[in-house]
Amino acid sequence: MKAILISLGVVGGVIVGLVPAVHRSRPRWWMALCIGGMGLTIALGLLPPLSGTFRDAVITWRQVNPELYVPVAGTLDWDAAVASGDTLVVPMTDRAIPPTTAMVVIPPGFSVPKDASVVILAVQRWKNDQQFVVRGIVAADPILALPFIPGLEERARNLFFHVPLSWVAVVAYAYALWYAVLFLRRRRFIDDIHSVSAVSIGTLFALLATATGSIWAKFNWGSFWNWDPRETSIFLLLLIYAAYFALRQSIEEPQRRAQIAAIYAIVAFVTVPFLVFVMPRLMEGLHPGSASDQTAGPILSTQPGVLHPLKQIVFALSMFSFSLLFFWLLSLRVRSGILALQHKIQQVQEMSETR
Amino acid sequence: MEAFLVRYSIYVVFLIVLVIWIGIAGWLWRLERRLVKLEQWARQHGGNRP
Amino acid sequence: MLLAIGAVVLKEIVVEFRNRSLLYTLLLFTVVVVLILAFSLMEKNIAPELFVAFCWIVLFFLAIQSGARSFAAEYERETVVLLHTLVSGYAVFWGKVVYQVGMITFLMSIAAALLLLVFDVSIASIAGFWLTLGVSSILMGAMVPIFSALIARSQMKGALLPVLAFPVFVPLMRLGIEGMLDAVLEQLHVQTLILMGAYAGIVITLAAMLFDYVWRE
Repeated sequence: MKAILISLGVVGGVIVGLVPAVHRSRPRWWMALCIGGMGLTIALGLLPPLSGTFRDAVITWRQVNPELYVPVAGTLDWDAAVASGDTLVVPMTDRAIPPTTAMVVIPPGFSVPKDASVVILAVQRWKNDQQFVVRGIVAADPILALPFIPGLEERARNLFFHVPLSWVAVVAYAYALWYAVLFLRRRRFIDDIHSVSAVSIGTLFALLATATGSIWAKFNWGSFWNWDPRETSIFLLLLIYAAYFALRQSIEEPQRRAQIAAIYAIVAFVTVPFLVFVMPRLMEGLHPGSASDQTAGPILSTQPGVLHPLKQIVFALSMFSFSLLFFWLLSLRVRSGILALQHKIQQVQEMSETR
Repeated sequence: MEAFLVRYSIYVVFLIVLVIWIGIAGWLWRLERRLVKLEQWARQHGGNRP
Repeated sequence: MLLAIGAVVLKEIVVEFRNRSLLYTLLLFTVVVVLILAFSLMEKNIAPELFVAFCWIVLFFLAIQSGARSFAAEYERETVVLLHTLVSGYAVFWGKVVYQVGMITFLMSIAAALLLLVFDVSIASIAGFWLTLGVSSILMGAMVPIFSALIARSQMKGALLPVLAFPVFVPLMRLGIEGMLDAVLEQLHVQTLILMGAYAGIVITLAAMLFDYVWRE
């Protein structure tokens, strides 16, 4: 199920992205799909409240930070409520499998809706593992909810933005490689335009992936940069493609520039699979899926229950929309490049005619 | 105050991201239309393919 | 074919020995690095990790230094035309590879011997250390010529080569440093060398396939 959904997002994004050929204008429905898909990704990725279990609250209190409030979703048993002074003590059954029932203490000033069948309360462990004190009301009868992950909390939402950005960068570099090969075989300048445009937009996505990752790392791992294997590899990737532009800059003759750049794009791409898919998995690191992690990470793991169903859907949607966004940017870049080339050719023709 | 933050901070993030996306989408849409016009103009004036 | 490659190698050696500028530059570079390290550390006992790092710094810059001139000099001396007319691109590529490999391995062994002389380092597996060093120098030397050819006709050649080559070298260097540390601290794992060979093999095969596109105008 998860494999189908995610590959649908990944493959579908590339196919729909390539449906109106890159050098053609985007149809209205296509632009609407991209804008809507991204909007939906943002809404579904950021709006649903997190819902955890009492176990999460205990883990957070013990291992992460006893000060933190954990959103726990569950059903309150109002019939068994006991009042002591202004404080209410109500048994609550959470939505874990199997569920646990614990006592929640509702201090005065909180009006928990009594008619809601499921409420999400921000709680904190209190006195023992069976007693929790309410610190806030998150939602009543939420339509959608994302799982709570101890230690990640709201930061888990970065999955929907950070991972697609870096994935799209890899797609972009593969696309650049493909057109570099085509250029060497056919020697058409349009292929070179495709290749450069893909590299420049791929680099933009890689930069954004680095930025989202690094801001996230500041709050999760404590500093913006930790030299984790994946951080090292994206750093090298950026270095490679920066070198690509430096190389282009330094050759003036257009034919030769395109040719040399194409060769470098091909040779440099050899490192991409190694840096992105092999090295980070072989070495110890902080990212999920590295050698010190028991699972293959939330996306590739085949264990059931590693990625929540709603997360799978939003993640697939996000992969799809980010791919469309990439192909849109690419198309704009390629088409303006072609126009500039036509303009240059026309100028040369006019010059030779006047002579 | 803290309870308020727990409850609403993610909506602030959502609004910021949404506004940024609307901005980008509008910019892309406008760029697309201008490019289509330019391409039409180029096709009428000469329009040779390289 | 082999004859043509041999001729290119021979030509490189003869040209090199006519002025010996590259040889001297590289030897001087090695000696200076070793001396600076000796001066600044002021003690003979250094940590093995530090020793491995020095070896790799010297190796990387040796490769870059010798690569920077390789093809650019052909264009400056205008000997390109001769190469174009006399031998195939294939022979030129492999000739350059063989020459670079020989040169870097030779100079690197001198540099490593000097480093070992100057510093007291306890090496667990001497054979493993030299084997890793040899394999690393050979692979680095073989990977350099394609980049050297890419920058030959660009401006700011010398500055561009490390920028282009470094990211592609990194996986090899990463594995090589790991392998050398293993050899120096405990014992060599042969699979590290195999992995290095596999990675460099892909790059060199691709380079051989693509070289003609750089070479023929």
